[in-house]
Amino acid sequence: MASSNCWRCLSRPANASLLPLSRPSFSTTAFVAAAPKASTKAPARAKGEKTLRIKKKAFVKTGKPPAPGERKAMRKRIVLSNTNALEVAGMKDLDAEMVDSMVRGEDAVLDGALQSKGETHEDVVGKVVGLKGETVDSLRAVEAFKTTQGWGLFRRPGLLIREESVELCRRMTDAAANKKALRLVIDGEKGSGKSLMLLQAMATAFVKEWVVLNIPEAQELTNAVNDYTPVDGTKPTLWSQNTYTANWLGQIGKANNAVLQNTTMRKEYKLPIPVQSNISLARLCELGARDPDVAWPIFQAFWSEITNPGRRPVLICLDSLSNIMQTSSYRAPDYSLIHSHDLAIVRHFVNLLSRPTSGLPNGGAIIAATSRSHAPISKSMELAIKQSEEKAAQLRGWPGKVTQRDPFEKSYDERADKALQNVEVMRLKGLSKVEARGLMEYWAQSGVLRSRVDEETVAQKWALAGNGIVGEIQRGALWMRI
Amino acid sequence: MATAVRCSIRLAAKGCSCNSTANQFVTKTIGLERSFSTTASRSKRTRSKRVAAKLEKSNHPLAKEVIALEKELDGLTKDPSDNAWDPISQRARTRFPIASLPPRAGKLKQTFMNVGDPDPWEYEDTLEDDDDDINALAHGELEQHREIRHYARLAAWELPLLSKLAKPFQPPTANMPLRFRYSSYMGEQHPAEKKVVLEFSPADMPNLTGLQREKLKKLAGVRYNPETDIVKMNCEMFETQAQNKRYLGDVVDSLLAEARDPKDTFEDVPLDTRHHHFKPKPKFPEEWLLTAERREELQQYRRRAAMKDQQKELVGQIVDGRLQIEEGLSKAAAARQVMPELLMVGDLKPKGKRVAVRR
Repeated sequence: MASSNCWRCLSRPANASLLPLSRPSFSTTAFVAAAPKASTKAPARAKGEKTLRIKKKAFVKTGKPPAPGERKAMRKRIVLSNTNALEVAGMKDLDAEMVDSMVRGEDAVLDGALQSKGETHEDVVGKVVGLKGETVDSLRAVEAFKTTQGWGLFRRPGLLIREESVELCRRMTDAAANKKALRLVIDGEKGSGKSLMLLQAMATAFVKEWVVLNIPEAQELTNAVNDYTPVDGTKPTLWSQNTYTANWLGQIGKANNAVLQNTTMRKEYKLPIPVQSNISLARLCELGARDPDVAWPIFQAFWSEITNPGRRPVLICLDSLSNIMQTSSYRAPDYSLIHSHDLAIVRHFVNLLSRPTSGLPNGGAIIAATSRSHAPISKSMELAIKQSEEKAAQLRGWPGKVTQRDPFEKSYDERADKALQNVEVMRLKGLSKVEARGLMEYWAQSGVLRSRVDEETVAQKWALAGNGIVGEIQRGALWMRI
Repeated sequence: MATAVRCSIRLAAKGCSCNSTANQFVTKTIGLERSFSTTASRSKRTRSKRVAAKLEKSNHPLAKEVIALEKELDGLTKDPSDNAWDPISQRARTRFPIASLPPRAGKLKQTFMNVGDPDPWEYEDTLEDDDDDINALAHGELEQHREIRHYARLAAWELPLLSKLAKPFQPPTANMPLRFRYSSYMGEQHPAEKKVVLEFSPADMPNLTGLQREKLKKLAGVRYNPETDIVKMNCEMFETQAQNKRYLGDVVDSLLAEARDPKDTFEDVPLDTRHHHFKPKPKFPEEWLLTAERREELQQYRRRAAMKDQQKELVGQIVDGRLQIEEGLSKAAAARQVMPELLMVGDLKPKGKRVAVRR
């Protein structure tokens, strides 16, 4: 804007008010109507006036943040005893004798003979038996206990013996006696005790001095959280999960130490590391656990050793079967998804489960449990289970057809179909009222159920739990606060 | 009388007007030739002049009698002594002198400017009401009542005659496997009038082997209902019902021809029923019915349960959670008492630096 002042000299105009105002030459609004410019400075406070000033407090760090892995450890922590719980008087421990008597009792009932005196099948069913310290250690080593199960409520771990557990016991004993493999899938509703039935099978196997291998959660094998490498010289490529295998070998060695310590290697194997010729199998497991790179070959050697004729029977368990009945989340170098059955450990298990000719010359059992709460839906598995049950019903002479596969269903898995072609199914239903009463009496004796246990309360809880679904009984009686 | 006539004219005018909203409230007369009516008939009968002249000319005794009767009647109606109505008519005259009545406007000439406008005499407010008649709404009610009676009469006298036209039901024979469905809207125009629906069961189709029948089902695709075993298809793409029906017939023919074609039997294709939802129908289980036996059974079970509890109680085998806890606590207390209490000897001051708990 041109100034009316002289540029050259610094003389100021005599009258400042005569300065031209910077306003447009033409406007429709009155000059006074223009909003006065807000002053940027806050108005000066009067003297002595008080204002509220809130100062933000600095964030105060309290305590130490959890160290890496601490939270996970907390989450995975398994508490097996509660010193506040009462000790249950007269609780028997599960041992080899008890297993034998259970089987005998079952046989006596089957034969229709009078039950022999002493402990019989009828006496045990519906009772809670304790687990011995060694058994608990072994079970803990193979991760048979789970965080979702209420072990932390009781003084020490105990197991309810149900009709099905006696049946399973008998069949396992039969399999060991006949040197055959029992191949079984345990299925049932959510909360019907499938995982606990696995645990029971493992406990039985431990007290009978079997060699027990357990895959506690099949999901860990297939959801691509472990490292994996192709196994040399395999076509189609087999993928081994070395760290997992090493860890697994460690667990096996620790859990079965009593058996494996006294078992020495018989054969020579071509192993990537030099191994003494006659070391104990426990030592072999330790070697495998120490070095993930050699874990898979050592596992193979270990397996061939324990399946040598004359060794102990073997139990191999897996929980949440549907995870290994589909493609895994692992990827091959061409970015295609690897099928679960191309993973070494899974392949090993599935071969055992599917092959009618026994992979266990010393007898044993291959048991898989389904999961109904957190597991992918495997159409093939569902169909195989259904068909197997219907076939079994037909064999018993009940009417009904075998369900055929849906020709327009796309999500069947061919390999899963083949694997589960002729597998037996044990369906777990709700507890009987006698069993439910036994369990609730155990809870009352442990001091966790604050009520009188009589037929009426048992019937109430039993009916509310969908005809005795044991997880629901537990939830209704122990965990629910009304 | 005059108001009644005016009113009926008004009604008729309303009926003629283009104003559709007014149409709703207009009563419609049902023909003048009805045999029975609740309203009074015309009070005065004026015989035509021709008939009167004829009567006078004839010398039939009956005619004379008639003329005499007529005269007597006229004398009766025109009784000079009966002047009860005079003051009323006078009052009406004073209130509404003839000159004060609104001039009846003649019909306006239809021009471009007033086309579609209602005629001036159609305006309700331009007409004076004489308050000697029931209002239009009431007339409407009355008209409706008449109408109802009319139809009641029809139902009573004429509907029974329809039974003469009834034909006995002939169930379709085996050589009529196609079932067509047409839709009629009782003479009304409707876009769906031309639609024809065809239903047939492949099992009823003649000269088909089992394989061909299966192929027919597969060809029918989503039109096949596996639950009822019926193929259902419709057509409304042509103008008339007959054309649509013809088309459906042709489609069935071609389907049958294809089904009989042995070139490809579709044996390897499973019947697709994905389009059909098999809806399970929950039924009350018979076992759940509370029959007398079942009730007895339940009572027995409860008695047995109570007995079992009683027996257990006698032996002392009933487990009570609360008692268990009390017992356990007392046992623990006893154990604590047996154990001698440990006392700290010497300096009671704890050693070491005191560290405040950081929170």
